[in-house]
Amino acid sequence: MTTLSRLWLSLCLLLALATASFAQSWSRAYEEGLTAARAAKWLEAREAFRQAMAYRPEDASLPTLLPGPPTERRRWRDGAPYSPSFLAAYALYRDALTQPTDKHGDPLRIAGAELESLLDKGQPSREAFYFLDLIYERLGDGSKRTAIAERYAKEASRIKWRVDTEIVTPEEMAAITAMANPLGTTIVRAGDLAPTNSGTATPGRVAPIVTKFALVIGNAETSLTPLAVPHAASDARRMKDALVTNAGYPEENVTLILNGTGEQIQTAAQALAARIPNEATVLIYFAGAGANLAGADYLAGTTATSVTDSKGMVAKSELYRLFMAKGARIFAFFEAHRPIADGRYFGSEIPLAGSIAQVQGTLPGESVTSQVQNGQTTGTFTGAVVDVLSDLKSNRIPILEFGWQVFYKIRRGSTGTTGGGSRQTPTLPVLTNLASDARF
Amino acid sequence: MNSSKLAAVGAGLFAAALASAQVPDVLTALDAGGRSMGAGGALGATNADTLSSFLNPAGLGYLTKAQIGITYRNLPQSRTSLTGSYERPNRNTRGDRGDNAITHFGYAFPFARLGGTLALSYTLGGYIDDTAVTGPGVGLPSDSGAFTVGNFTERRRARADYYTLAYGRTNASQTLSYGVGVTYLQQLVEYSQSGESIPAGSFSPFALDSNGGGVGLIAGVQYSPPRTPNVSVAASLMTPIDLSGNGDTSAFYDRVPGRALVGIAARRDGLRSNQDYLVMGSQVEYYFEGRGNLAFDRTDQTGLGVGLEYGYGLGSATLPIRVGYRALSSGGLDYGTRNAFTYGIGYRPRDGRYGIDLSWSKPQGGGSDLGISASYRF
Repeated sequence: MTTLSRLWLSLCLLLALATASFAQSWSRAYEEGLTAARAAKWLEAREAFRQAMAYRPEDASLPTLLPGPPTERRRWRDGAPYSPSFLAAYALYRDALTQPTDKHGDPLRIAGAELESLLDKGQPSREAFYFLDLIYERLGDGSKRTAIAERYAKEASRIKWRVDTEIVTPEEMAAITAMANPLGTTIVRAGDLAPTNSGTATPGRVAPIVTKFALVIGNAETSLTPLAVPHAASDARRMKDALVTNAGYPEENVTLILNGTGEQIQTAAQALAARIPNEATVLIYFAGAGANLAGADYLAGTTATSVTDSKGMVAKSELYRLFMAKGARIFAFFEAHRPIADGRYFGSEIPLAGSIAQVQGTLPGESVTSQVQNGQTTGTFTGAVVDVLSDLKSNRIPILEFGWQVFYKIRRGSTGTTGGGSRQTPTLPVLTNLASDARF
Repeated sequence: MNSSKLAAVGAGLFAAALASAQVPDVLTALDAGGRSMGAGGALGATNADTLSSFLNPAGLGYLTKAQIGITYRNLPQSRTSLTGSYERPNRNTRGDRGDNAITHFGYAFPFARLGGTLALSYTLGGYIDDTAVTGPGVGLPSDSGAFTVGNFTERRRARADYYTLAYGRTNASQTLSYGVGVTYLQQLVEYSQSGESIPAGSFSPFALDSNGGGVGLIAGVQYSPPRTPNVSVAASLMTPIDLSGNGDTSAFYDRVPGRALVGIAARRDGLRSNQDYLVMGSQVEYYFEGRGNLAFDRTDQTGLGVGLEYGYGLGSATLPIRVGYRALSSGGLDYGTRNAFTYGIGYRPRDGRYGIDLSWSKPQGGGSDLGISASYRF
C-alpha cells in the first residue's frame, strides 16, 4: 500500500468517526430549555434542563470552554454559567405559579428541595436563596423561611456562585440585585424597614419643585373585560392628590386623564412633553388594561377592543420617547393585570435607552387586587404608593428605597414593622441608566 | 529544443553539484503568511481562519461568522554563485528578499441552517526564484576543456498558485471537525540558461516556460478531547497534483507533491490575573510523491515547526506576541534546507471583529521574510 493510500485510508476512518458523532449534546438540550422557558413552557423547559443534566450532570459557575482551535478563546454562551439544576428548579417554580393554589404545593416543595440541594452541594447563589424565600412564603412555611434567612445571613458575604439568569424576569433580578447591594441610603436600609410615621398625613404640602411633572392616567372603562381595573380612575385621582400634596409636584405640572382614549392619552402626553424643560423629572402613572404585543407594551385606551390589536392603544415606548427627547428622567408606575399569553405579558418590555425606572403593581402572571380604604375601593398597589408618599413627605424620594417601602407597605400595611404577607407582590424598580438612589 | 535533448544538456549541470549552500527549498512549502507564520508555522493545521481552506479545511468548521482574510509578504529570492565546471559546478546560494505580493486572499461564510462553513481562497503555496551566475569575467569550462561558457547565467523560477473551494463542519459537541476541499493549481515553471559560448557553437542559450494546471483534493480533521478542550490535534492531506498543459517544462516538473500536515496546539488561559493567554503548537509537514527532474528535482520533503503565541491583554484588546522556529529539509537535488527563527506581533480587539498580524523571520541561508496579514469578521 503506497504512502498516499495509507494516508487516505486513515483520513477516511477519521471522517467516518466524525459523521458518527452527531449525537445530542448537553448544550443543545440546554438551549432547548431556554427556548421553551422564553415561551413560558415551563414543564418542557424543565425536562430539557434535566436532559442536559443527563449529558453533563454538574452545574458550573465558571465559563465553559468550548473545544476548538486554541488560537481562539471560545466560551459557551459568551461565558455564561451552566446551571441546568438551578433552572430546572426555577422552571418548576414558575410552572407552580400558574397552578391553582390547591395544586401548587407539591411542585413548590420539589423545587424548594432541589434548590436546597444546590446549597448543600456548595453552590449557594443569591438567586437560590431568593427563590427559596418566595417558595416557603407561598407554602406558608415560616420555620423554613426563617432557616433560609438565617443561612443567608451567615453565608451572604461569601457567596460567589454564579447561576444562569437568562430566563429570570427583570423584576426578580432587580430584587436579587437589591439583596446583594444593600442601599446604604440615609433614610432606611432595605430589609429592616420601619415606617417614618403611623400613616397619619402631615398637614400642609411638600414644597413643590418646578421641574417635576407627572402624567397620571386611570382607565376604568374598557372593553377588555378580563384586564379591567374597575378602580383605576379613582386610583388615578388619589395618585394625583398624593403627588401634589406629599411629593412636591406642582399641581399645574400634573396632567390627569380619566378614562381616556388612546388618542387622548397620546395628545396629552405630547402637550406635557412640549411644556417640560430639558432634563426634567417625569412621573408616569397608569392604572388600567395593558397588553404586550410582539414584545412591546401597550396601554389600552377606552376604545381598545382586542388584546391582539394595538388599535385604540398607546405604545409605552412611544410615551417614553416623547419625554426622552427632552432628556427627562422618567419614573413609571403601572397598576395593571399581567397575565401571560404565549409567553408574553405586560411589563416585559425593558427600555434599552433613556433614564427610566419602571415599577409594576404585581408579578408576571399575577393580577392586581384591591381593598377597601376609608370606605373606598382602592388598588392595593396604588394604596401602598399613596401611603408611602404620605409617610415620606419628600420631594426627593430615592426610587429603589421607595420601591422597597411600597413592597413592605403591601405586606404589612400600617399594622406592624416585621414579617407580613400578601397575595400581591409588586416589583422593585427596574432601572435603565438610573442609579438606585435617583430621586423623583 | 525538445524535452529529452534538454534533459541531456541540463543533466550535466545538475549531475553532481558540489554545493556549500543550495537553493532554499520552498518550491512547494512556502508559508503564505498569516498568524501562524510568526510562530514557526506551527499553528497552521490547528488554526481557524480563511487559510484553513488551504491548510486544513477542518478549521473552517469553527468559524461562526463570515470572514475575509488577506496576507501580503515578500517572495523569497536567492542568488547562486557558480564555480567549477559546467558539468559539475560548485553552487553557493545566498537567500534574499524578492518582490512583495498578496500571497493569500480568502472569504469564508458559515451556513446558519445547513451548518458548516464554506470558503473560497487564493493561496501562493510554493515559490522559487533563483539566479545562478558565474563571477564577472569568469566562465564555466567543460570538464573535457572542449568549451567554456562565459558570463553564464541560469535562472529557475516556479510559482504555485492555488485556488481552493473548501467546506468544514463540526459535530454537535464540537469536539471534532472535518473538512474537504478541491483546489485548482496553476503552476508556473521557468528555466533558462544564457552565456557566451567559447568557442562559438558549443553552447546554445535557451529559455523554457509553461503554465500548467491541475486539480487536487484536500481533506482534514481536527479533534479536541472533551476533557481538555484547550488542546487540539489536527491532520490534513492534499493529494499530489499532476500537471497538464505544461508543454516544454514537463520533463522538469510534472507532478506537484502532495502534502500531509499533522499539528497539535494547546492553550493556557488565566495568566497575569486572567488577562493573558499562551498557545503552544507544533506541526509536521510532509511533501510526497512529487515528480520533477534536474532544476526541479523532487524527492520527499519534511518540515517541522514549533512556536508559541503569548496574548498580552490590554483591556479592550489583545496583543499577540509570537516566536517560533521552522525547519524545512531539502526536497530535491540541488535544493537546501530553509531553517529560520520566526517572530510576530498582532492586534486583536476583545470582540475579535478583526485582527492584524505582522510576521518576520531571518532564514539561516540569508534573506529575510516579512509579512502582514489582516482578517475581518462580519
